[in-house]
Amino acid sequence: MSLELLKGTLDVLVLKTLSWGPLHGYGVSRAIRAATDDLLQVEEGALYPALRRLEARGLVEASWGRTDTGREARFYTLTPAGTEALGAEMATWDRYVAAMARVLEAEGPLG
Amino acid sequence: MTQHDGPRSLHGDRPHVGELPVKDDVDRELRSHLALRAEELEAEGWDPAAAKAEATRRFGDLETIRRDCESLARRRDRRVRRTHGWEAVMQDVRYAIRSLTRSPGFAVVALLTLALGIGANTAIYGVVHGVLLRPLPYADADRIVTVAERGQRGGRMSVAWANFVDWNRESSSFEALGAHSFSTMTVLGGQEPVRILASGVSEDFWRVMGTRTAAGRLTGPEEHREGAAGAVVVTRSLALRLFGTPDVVGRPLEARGVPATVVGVVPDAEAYPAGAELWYAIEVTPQGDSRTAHNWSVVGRLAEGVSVDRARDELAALTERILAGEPESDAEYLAAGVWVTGLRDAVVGDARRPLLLLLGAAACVLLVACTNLASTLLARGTVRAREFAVRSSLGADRSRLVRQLLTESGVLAGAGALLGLAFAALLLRGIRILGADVPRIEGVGLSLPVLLFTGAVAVLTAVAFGLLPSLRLTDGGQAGTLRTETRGSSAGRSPVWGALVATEVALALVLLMGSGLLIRSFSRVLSQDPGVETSDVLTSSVALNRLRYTELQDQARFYGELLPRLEALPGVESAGLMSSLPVSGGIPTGRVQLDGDPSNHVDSPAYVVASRGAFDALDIPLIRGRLFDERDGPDATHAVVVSQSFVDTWWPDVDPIGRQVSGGGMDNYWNAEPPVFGTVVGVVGDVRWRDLTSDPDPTVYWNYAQRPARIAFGASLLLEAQGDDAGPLAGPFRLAVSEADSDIAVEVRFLADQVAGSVADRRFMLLILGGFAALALILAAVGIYGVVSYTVARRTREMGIRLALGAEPGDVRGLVLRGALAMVGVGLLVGLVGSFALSRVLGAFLYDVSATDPLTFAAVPVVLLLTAVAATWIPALRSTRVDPIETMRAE
Repeated sequence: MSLELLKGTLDVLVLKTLSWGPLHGYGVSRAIRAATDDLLQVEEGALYPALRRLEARGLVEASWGRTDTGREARFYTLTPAGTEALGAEMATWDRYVAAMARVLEAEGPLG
Repeated sequence: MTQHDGPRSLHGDRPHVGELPVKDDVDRELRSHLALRAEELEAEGWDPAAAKAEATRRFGDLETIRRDCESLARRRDRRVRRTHGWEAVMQDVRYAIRSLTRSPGFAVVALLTLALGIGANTAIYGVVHGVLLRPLPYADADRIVTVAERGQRGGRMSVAWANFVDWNRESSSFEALGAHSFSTMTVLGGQEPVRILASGVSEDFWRVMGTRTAAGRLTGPEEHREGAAGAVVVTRSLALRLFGTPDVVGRPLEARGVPATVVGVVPDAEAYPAGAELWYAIEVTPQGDSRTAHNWSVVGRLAEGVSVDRARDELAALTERILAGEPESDAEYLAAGVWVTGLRDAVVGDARRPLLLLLGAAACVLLVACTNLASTLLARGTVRAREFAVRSSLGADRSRLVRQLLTESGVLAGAGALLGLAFAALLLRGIRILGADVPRIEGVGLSLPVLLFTGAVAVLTAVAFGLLPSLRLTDGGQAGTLRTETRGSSAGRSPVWGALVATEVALALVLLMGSGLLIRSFSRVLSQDPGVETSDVLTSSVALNRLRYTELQDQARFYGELLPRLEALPGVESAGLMSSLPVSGGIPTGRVQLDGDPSNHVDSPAYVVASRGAFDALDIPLIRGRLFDERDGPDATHAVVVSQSFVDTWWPDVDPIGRQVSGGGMDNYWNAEPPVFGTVVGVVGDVRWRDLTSDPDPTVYWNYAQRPARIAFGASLLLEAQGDDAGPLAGPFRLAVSEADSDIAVEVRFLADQVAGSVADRRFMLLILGGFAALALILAAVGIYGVVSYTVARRTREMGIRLALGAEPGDVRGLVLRGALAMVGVGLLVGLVGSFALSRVLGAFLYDVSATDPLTFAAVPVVLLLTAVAATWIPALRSTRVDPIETMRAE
């Protein structure tokens, strides 16, 4: 079974992934796959515009480096602004989930 | 750039983000992904070709993603560049402020120097803009001209009514022509009588000026005809003064003895001529057909596309034609041509040259300030050369260092400009008071164009004093600084220093020379004897209501009763009445016939009507004969007093007492048939009627009691105090006159102010130029002191060695002095040459002093030289207080 990614949530996933440490784009995609047990279907290429957008907004910074296998790759790091944004997005997400849960788990009409 | 360093600084060969072109950056990243993906698939057992294909498949739409990434990357680049540029500037500014606060002494002196220099320029430009450049407040003012007749001797004359009428009818160069007069009159009907400047205007005057009303309407055709009911237009401020409200349309008042109704109110700013507060129609009374009575000023609005020259040519030709039939005997009183002048030139033409001269002087002050700062920065910079050498060797490129230094200059100039604005505001306040006679001075201030000018000056200043030091300091040659910097003993003697000091001295000398000449000229002007004693005299301009004093003798009788009452006031020495005041700019003149012989007439002595007390009040000395007295009643033969220069000019070899004169001035005796003669009873000292620098006019005085016509137009009361202080008499003076007739507007002034006012424009220029020169002198002294101190400090080691080797302190001091004074000497020479070159410009402003006055040219350089010696002396003294051992160890 696989899930369509909700619109706008990819940015949060990327920020969360980078909060564990600097990663190149491929690493980010691999980490998302691993964390979700391949449940979330993300077209791998879609990650890059997201990374570039976050970079343009100053939430992540990039620099060229090399992977363990010696390949050239562009590494991304969360900026302080990025950390802040992640916190805000996670809070929003929690409220969203809680609200959805109240509705979906209700046993009768609310209120 | 540390914030962009990679998460793991592994290898040196990777590119920095931002260094790659966006296209490559994106391409590399995407290819990196595909390679890594394929690598992982291979590790899972795919064969290489299939792995590559699968990686691409899983990636998605490569081209779309690439385009999206590129456009996002570009957006990021732009953002980064913007913040970086701004951050770099702010960093430079912070650095500059830190480095300035580390040497507060320098910062304070530099700020003051700049504030004075920029402030002086701002203030003078404020005046230049407000007076010369600011648009005139009249609609489409570029098309308005003034028209005057040209006299037989070339001067400007007012226009004869008949000529104006003909011009108006026959010329085609003008959309409209208007005549106007300008006179003082008393206005009644308000809360109290006021004495104001008023203008009689012809019908088209309003069309010429394009005047708009604030309320009501302007006078119209029905009011501009003979016998029409009086209608007047007033300024808003006169409305307020008369009635306490601007809402005055329809109210009655009485101006120059004529009842009138206010039909309109105009804004003060649109008043023309400047200072007029009330306008009435001149056509109400017939103006006759004389072409020799020059009474009117004329303004014209040029027709579309007509140039001033064309209008002048047309009017000149027209005038020649209409005057062709005039009698030969009048020839010398007829126009010989016309003057047509653009309104702006007419209004501010005289102010242009002095103001531009002052602007030049202010620029000189700023140049001195810049030179001063350049040399100080250079001196500081040499001290800081080590700092720059270090930064340079650490990889900062030259343009970076130049930018840093220019930022420091910019910060200084910016702060200096702000302080300078405060200084300029103060200066302008003083200028508005000092320059009250300068046309349009009331609109002078720190307007937006002036602030823009200040900004531009600040930028130029920063570049001017910052560029040279920053270029020199970051010069490649300074790379050796790390090794040799502290040894340099010749830095203080480099040609650049000398040139800077010489420039300062030269500029200061030119300014000092200019103000020296103005001071000499001013003292010559003040030393001219006006011929009267003004210090203890009060005066008030007065006029009687002609509705109530219909007969001229009524007026004479009124003053005949008032004057003894004034004389009886406690503390009053004498009281008098005179038709003109001394040193008041102008004087009515008229042809006089001598000894009843029509062929023996003289042109054109001053014509003054006076009471006996006026001679006493003004201390005009009686030289021969007697003054007017009780024998000279209305029915007696007219008594005449003439001035000494009148006798010298026309009766050099005869006894003037008992001789006869007739004519004189424009009153009802002027053309009387048969002529009314007066008999000369006395000769008095000369009086300068126009100003201190004009020769006294030969003068004929008539007795007001016998010939009162002139005083019906207004006259001046004079009150001389017993002591030196006339001030306390002002109140009783005003009260006594008001009690005698409450319709008289009394405005008491000190007569001494009249003399002071006549030299106001000279004083204005002298004080400003003198102030600037003093400023330049101080700045130059500070500059010389700074450079010499620095030189001495730099050469301490050399001095120490010299002293150790047995040199006398005097020798060492001499060495320093000689070095400094050589630079000053060059500056003095250049300044002298400059002063000679500029003497022609200044010559026009001087009275009785040559623009190359030897005394000034000798004294001023000495003053400057002494200042320079003083500025050099302290550091020179310091040079010999050196302990040789100490200094050599210090190195």
